Amino acid sequence: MPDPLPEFPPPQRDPRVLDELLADGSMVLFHTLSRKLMTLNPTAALVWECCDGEHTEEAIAAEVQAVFPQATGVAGDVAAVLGDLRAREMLRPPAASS
Amino acid sequence: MTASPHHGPVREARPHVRVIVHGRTLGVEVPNPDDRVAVAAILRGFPTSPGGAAAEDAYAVRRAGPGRWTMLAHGVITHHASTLEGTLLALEWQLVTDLLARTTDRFHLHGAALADPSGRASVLVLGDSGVGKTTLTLSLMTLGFRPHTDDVVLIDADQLTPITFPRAFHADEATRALVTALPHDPAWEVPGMPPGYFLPSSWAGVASPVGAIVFPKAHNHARPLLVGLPIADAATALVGFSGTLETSPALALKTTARLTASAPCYALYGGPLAATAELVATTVARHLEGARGEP
Repeated sequence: MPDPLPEFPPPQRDPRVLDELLADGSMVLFHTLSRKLMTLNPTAALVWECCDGEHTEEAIAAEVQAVFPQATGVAGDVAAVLGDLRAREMLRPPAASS
Repeated sequence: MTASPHHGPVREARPHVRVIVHGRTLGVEVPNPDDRVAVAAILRGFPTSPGGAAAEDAYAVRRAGPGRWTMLAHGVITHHASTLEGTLLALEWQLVTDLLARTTDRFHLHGAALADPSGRASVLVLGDSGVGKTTLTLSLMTLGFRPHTDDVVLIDADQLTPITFPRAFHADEATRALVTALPHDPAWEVPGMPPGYFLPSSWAGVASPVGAIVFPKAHNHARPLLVGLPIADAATALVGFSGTLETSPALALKTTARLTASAPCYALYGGPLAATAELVATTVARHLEGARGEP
């Protein structure tokens, strides 16, 4: 039987990450400890804004779907963005959240 | 060398070269007369310090023996070299490093900045070493652009305007050959200037807003091409050339966002030098026309 998929608590921005909204709605992130840069397209920037430690992944997807009602595959896109943010350590690790 | 009461280096009775760099008096003790001429030449773009003023930043270039030089900053030996040229490079590096450490309220970039011939807009040329920034800068100067600076760009983070930093350019023989082949080449020869350096005869005056940001890429294309960059790509590229990201990341990100919002950003694929410079000049002019609402 395969291992169950990991369950993450509501994602939360790492407070050591600085963000800056750009003129086209995209965003640049900079982790002040790892010194890593990351850019987000406008949709990913919206996901980032929702990473407040209260919105679950499903709630974030609902927020994005509300902004882009015609979009399909939103849940998958949100999961991919969150996976990327976690991989680049822009989110608080689960153990440190809440 | 001729001393000027208002501008240019002063050879004093004491073996010092004293200039004012961004409001601070900088003194370089250089006992050897020949070395002093070279140090004074590369600092000629900065105004001289009034006589008797104490140096707030003290440096020294001394001969430590045959074929040996040492450089001191604030009383501490920071560099040894076997050539004067190597010592001058170390001196410049130290001066710029100290300046940047003091100007944490300014945004700085690796590149060049020039004012367009009308003086109404500036263009930033940003890129890695060896990509052709200085060559393009010198070529634009032949079209009437005037430099704010080469190699290190300081931006007033409030006004988003480049700050003139009249440091001598580094230009190797290949760069000189390319530019002197053009019509209206700038005057190269400055008395006492060490090999490999060039000091423009005039600099940008009034600060003007950034009208275009250019990232030179590969060159030697048949014809030059400017490709507009999406804002996110431009921001990533721009902030990557900023040392401010290390020292004041919030300032770096905010200034990057404002610059990329206010000025178009381009990747430049260079072709023949004259055509490449013309393309950049035309693009800046077109941006200015658009800003004035002209067709």
